Amino acid sequence: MADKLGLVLSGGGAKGAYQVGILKYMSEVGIQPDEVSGTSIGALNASVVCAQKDVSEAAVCLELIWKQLATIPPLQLERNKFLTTVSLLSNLIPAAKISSIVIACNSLKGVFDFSKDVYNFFSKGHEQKEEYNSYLENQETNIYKSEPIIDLLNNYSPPDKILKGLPLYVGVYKSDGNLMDSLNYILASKLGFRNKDSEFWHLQNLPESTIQNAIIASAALPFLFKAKAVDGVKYRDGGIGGAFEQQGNTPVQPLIESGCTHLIVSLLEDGSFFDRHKYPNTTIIEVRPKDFISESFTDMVAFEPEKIDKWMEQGYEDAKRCIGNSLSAIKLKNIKNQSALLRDQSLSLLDSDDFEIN
Amino acid sequence: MNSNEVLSNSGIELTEELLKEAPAHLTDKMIVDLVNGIEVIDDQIKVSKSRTSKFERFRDSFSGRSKHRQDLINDNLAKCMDNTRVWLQNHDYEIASINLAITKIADKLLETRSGVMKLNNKHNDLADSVILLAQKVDDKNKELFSYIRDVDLRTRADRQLDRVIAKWQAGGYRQVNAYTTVYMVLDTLKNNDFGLYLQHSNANSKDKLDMLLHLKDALQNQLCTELSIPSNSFHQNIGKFSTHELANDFEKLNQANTLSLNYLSDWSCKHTEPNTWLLHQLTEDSLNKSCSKSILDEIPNKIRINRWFNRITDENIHSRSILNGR
Repeated sequence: MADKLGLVLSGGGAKGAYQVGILKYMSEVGIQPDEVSGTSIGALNASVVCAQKDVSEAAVCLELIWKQLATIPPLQLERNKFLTTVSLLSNLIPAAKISSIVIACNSLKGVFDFSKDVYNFFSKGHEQKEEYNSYLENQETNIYKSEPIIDLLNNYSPPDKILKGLPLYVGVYKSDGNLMDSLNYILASKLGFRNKDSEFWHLQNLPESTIQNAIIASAALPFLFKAKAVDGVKYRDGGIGGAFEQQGNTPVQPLIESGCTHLIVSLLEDGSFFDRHKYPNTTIIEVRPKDFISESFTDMVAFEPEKIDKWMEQGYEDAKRCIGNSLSAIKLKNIKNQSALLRDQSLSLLDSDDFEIN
Repeated sequence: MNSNEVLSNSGIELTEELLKEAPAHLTDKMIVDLVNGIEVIDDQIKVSKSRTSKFERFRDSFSGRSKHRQDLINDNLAKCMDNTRVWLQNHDYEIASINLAITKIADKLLETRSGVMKLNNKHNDLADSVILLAQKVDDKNKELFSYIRDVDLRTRADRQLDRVIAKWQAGGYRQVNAYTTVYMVLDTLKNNDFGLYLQHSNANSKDKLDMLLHLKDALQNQLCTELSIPSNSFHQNIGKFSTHELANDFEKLNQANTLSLNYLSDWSCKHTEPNTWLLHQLTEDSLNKSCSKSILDEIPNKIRINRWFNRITDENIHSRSILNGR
């Protein structure tokens, strides 16, 4: 089987800038993937990689995009109203996390008010969950608008280019409603419960009109973005599924199923539970942050120039170390094998040269 | 001592057969799992160390994250160790292969060096033979050149003898009597090619004696002809010549010829070359017009021709050339 390299870009919100650094390093050393997959912010980055001619152009393009992201008004939050509250409460008990979201949302006047409903949800029992979800979906529960993202996608990875580009897979999560998705995610990622897995879509197999929605769905974090309906079904950020072991957030599975023998996996979480040993037949290089990539919960939405620059730099250095060390070791092994072959050939010639002095 | 001998002496049995059992193939995946697995371990340890508060530790324990993290560390560590084992086995295998290769090359080098030494010895033997051969060729050349020179000298001597006898026969010495002619002929031969042959030729004594005998025969024949004596009875002949007549002949000779004769014979000694000395004295007397009477008084009036011939020949050529030449 011929070697096939896949690039996996996991989700992590604003930390996605880290992946620009990885792509810059790959471009420098001439590593070109055959396929690419992504979830959440990774899906947005992956769509640009897919649509551009090669990794070099994608790296240049993504750097430009990320510099722009920091200046787009809808992505700049009012900290005093929302995120500072969430940040302060981010390390409290899981139940408090829900409360923190509720409090945060309460603080956003004009967005929606559902603290009472949350109380009702817990007090009335699960039989009312579907009804409640329906209620929530009818509210404008998103903080960010999708339009700026759609504009960027239209500019840098339009569907027609994606159809002609590298095979692209994105991770999406079939939504159970804003609150349930959040709850399930928190229970899985923080308390060790198992939630359902995400799905992976091969975008080139979708109708052209659906491609953009699929990418936006893959990046639709609960509360921050609206869920995206595809064929009448609402989907959210793929990072929600299989949260404990990063099944959805690290979309390795579709690339392995499509026959990738080698993978470069970008992880945007410190101490990610992604487990390479679940894929015994695939050679996987994980690019993990050496220093902490995330200082607080709010980093996920910290689209700030300083942080973006720092993450891009960090991604480059980590890629240089993680990919570089592995490649150096393999290169050395190949040189050793080739030199051993030459040695054996020379010895064979020496054996058969009929040298004789009588 | 080659490698096999070294190994047999050391008790080690190292053969290529042993290397047929190769260790597990070291795949790219193993290398990546080892090198990159360390990154995973570092990442998990980093996060684990950051969990400093009791609440965080409790939360991680409660959620199973702590155990899962430790499991990941353990799994990666175990995999890294196992891959390290395979890598080290591969290294050992390669080192063994390299050692065997070096041993083989060393054996070949030994064989080559031994061959070169043999070649060198053969070369040296050949060089000695060539030097010997060159020496022989040189000797042969010298011998040949010497032989050619001797032949040349002999030829020149023969020719000179022939020319001198021919000159005599042609009357080239008619100014002087036959006895003086014998001396002049001997002196001419002695100081030219004939003398060179006798003095410098490497020809053996027998050849030189033969040459002398040939000379004596030729002179004797011509003298016999001049004196009208049958040459076949020359040695039995008892004819004598008068020393007074000889002296008178010198007085008739012109002064230039007398001076020449006097000069040519001034080397002679009364005791060792008495006949030549006599000629010298007679020319001396003729030139001085004085004491010739007294010289004639000291020598016999008559001298036997054949004895005189033998002696003057010996005085001029035989004794000085052959004996001195030896």
